[in-house]
Amino acid sequence: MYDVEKLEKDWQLYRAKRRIPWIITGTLLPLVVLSVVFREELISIVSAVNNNETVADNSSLKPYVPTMLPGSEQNQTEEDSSTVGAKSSDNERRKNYLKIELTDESLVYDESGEDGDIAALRSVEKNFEQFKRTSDSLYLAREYYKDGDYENAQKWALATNEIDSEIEESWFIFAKSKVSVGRKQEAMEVLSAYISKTNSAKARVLLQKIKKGKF
Amino acid sequence: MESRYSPAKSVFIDSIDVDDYINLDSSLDAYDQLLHSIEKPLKMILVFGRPGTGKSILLNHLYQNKKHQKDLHYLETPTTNEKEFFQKIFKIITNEDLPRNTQVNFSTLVEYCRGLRGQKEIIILLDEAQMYSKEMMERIRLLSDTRAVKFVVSLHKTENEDLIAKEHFQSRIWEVIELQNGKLADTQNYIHKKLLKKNLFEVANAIKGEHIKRIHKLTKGNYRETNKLLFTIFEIHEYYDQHDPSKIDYDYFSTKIIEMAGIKLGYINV
Repeated sequence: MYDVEKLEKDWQLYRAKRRIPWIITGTLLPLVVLSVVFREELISIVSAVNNNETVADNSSLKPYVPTMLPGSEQNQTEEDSSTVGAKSSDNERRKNYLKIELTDESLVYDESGEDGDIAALRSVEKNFEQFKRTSDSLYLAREYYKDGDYENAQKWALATNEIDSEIEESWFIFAKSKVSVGRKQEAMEVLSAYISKTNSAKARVLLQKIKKGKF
Repeated sequence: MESRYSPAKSVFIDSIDVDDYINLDSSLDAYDQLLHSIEKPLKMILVFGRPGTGKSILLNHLYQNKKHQKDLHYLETPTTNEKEFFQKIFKIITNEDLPRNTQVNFSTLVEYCRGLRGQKEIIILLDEAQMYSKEMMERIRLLSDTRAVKFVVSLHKTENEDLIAKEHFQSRIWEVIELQNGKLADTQNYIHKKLLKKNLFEVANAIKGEHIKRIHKLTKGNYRETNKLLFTIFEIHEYYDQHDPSKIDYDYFSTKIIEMAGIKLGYINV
């Protein structure tokens, strides 16, 4: 008579092997079901992660600023404070801001015209005072420059550079504002200093334009 | 003390004893077809199928049933020695023993058979014909051409089926009966009928549909493999019955033991 006890052990091994596909299915199937059920949430998480991981190259920095809805500044401020306030400079360095492009009607919420513009700028200034975000200061520099308020444009561009000296656009706004108020030499000095530090090609181009008076 | 499973084990000892013949739907069909074929004026009838599909037991069953009604002869064990083989054929055809120190003159034998045409019809059942040489099969063909002798040849179905493909043989086969592995219902009937034939009612009742399915799946419905598997199953039951009865349930067959037997016989690869 053969060894029945050994045969029994072989049978136990056979049974254990037969369970493996079921274990794998039992593990994977709930994951698949959950991914289908919570698909929307997963997509939003993934897109948020992708936005956070967007790292702007110095030479191609495109600052983005959040738009603010009328009457919701306070709420947004409160929401922001709960999520972003604590992160301040570290987040700025990681370019952790919302990706919303400015358009000519950039102040989308602006239904009241000029008053609305000023109110929006005031609101952003207030935010900057509280959170010191370069996105806010850069937005202000850009807006003031566009409005022809070169003094304020310089002021906010400088404020931006003081927080993060690697934001190229603020350097350009600062230099161009200087030129616009007749301080061409100062503008060239600023740009030259920036170029010596960063060797930026775009800065070189702007400097040449200023020198040639083509700006 | 003998285990209650020892008689059940004996039931499934592989044999072609006609007492072990089980009437199944598929085997009844094959039997009827074979019976009908030997009534026709055919030279040769081929019974073929995979080993374990019941060819030998079918021929034996036919022989036992009809040997008193027809001039029927069954060569169960193939004789690979040509001289001995034709001595047997000689005796079948002439009803006489070949004198000592003589051998069959084949041409004379063929002429003798031609003389018997219309007077006698001798039917010879040749089992395991794949064992015969090509020359022997050729001489068998020549004898069948005399129409005094009819051959029923049983062959294993090989992968190549090379014997059937040979031209000189193919033209002589007028009837082909193929045996196949049993279906699930055949396996169930086979197992239950075998046990009930030996009055093992309780053992038969303990084997349920799910057990039959498992057995059928492992053996693919082949009767020889079924015999082997059931024999091993009852052998394991016998062991536990004698050494560790707590591992078996007398009223309900154990799938575990079926699988253990499958592992032992190599049907299940661990």
